[in-house]
Amino acid sequence: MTLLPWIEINNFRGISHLQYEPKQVNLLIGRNNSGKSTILEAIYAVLMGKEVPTIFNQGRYLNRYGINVHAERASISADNHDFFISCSLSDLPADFSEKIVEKLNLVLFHNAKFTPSPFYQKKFIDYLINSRMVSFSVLDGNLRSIDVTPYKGFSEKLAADSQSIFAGADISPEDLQEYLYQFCRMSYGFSENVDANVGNIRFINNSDKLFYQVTADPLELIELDKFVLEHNLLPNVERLMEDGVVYRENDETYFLPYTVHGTGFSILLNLISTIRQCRDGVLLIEEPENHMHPGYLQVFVENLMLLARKLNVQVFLTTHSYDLIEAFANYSQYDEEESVEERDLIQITRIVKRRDEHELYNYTPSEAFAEMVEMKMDLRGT
Amino acid sequence: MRKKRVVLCEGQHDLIFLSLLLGAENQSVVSKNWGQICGASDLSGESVTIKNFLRSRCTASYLLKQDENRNTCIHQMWIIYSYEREYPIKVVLDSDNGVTLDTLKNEMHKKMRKDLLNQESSNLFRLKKEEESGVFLYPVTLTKEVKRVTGKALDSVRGVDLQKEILQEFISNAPEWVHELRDFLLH
Repeated sequence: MTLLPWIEINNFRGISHLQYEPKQVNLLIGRNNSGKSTILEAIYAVLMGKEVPTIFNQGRYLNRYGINVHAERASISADNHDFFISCSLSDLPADFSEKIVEKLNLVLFHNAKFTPSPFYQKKFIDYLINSRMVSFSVLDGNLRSIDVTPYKGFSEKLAADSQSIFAGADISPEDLQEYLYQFCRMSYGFSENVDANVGNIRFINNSDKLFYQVTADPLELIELDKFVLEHNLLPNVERLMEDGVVYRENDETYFLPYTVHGTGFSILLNLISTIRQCRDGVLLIEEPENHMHPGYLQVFVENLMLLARKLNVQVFLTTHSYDLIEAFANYSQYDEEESVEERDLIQITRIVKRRDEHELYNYTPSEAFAEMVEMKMDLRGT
Repeated sequence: MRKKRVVLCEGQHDLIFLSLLLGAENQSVVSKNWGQICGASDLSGESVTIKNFLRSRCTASYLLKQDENRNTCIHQMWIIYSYEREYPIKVVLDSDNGVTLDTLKNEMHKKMRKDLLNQESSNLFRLKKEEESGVFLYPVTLTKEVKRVTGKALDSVRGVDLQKEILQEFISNAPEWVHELRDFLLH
């Protein structure tokens, strides 16, 4: 199932307007500055309520970003075509912001499983107004009548978190913002498969790939161990451990920590391990090809497809790699039984920025293959 | 650096004709046929050919490509249009009694999902957002028009030099549409 079947981005970073219909596994290609990473960051921002943490912004939250800059507002649509926007209350007409507060009151308190005391209700609304940020849903420019039915199915975790917020527990304002964002996102009936556990939404940017930490979970280690052996990623491997690899050679065993292994190997393990943690969620990866041999890329694509389907993960990748595009375009090309269904899961999207407008050209793997092979075009752009 | 332009055409006669037309205007030309484009790279020969042409060390102003009558010019034009480009693209084709124009429009709607053509005359269609790019349709098949003007059948002549001579003679006595084509290629 595709968690995000339709995406609209307005005035977010370099993108003024863009509509996009992704599939389960999406490969975004295009020149530098064409907006590939911005799409990934917009998806992350709307699902998490904060920016992708980078060395430049240290993971600033959208409220700070939006208020300070005033030009950067993210809007994204879910499968029900509702808009989710982040903006400053002070930017809105007074009567409109009053309606928002009124509706917030209704959504947050009147139909909730938990009902804080009026004192904390006021405190919370004041906090929202003072922080000058609120996430809400609008349709055709007006607050729609709010259906609280989906809200009733909230996880206990979120309810417990919210309880502790209102009770003045030790929660940072940043965490509060994130919970609030998740809370509002959920309250408008965003896909039920994206639950309040933000752990199933992962963004792997270029620097993250290099910091690999194998899970301490023994079951996960066994799976990774199997994976390394099955694909013969390293010769003579006996066992994968939490902090390194045990090898056997001529009846002798020896241990080597991950730090002495190649970057490509670590990145591949990191990526595969991360996909496994994204069950029923969204995985965003920037340029997975970096540091990896084309042979590893093939293994990566095969396992990505397998796990994405098995674990119901929607994947968004950006790339500049011809090898990766070819691997996707060629996927299941010669396996007639599986090819049709599996190729339907893949979409290759070429983004072209022309006079500040972003144009998207979508390809099925076979269309991409035809354009590459028959028309001799370089899909990455000329 | 002189502005570089890419011209797509259908066959060998067109290639010679357009080369002569541009040569007469002191424009330097590189010509490629489909076989040469495929030979440039297994997967991205088209892109490699274009990139080589655009490099500063290539001094030619025009890249003329003929698809050896494979009938792919229109399809390819819209594919190339969909890429980011720093060069105008010009397509020169036989009108084929209106069939070519229909195909051009059908492919445009299929690939681009919008109307990008601006009709300037019965032969010339420029792109709305990129006026230097466009399509020129010969009102009459080139070989027929050459026969009418020069009395010589281009098809029955095999040597390239002889074909050049005939086409040169044709250009010297060219009908009005050839002047329009020349303007389109130059501007």
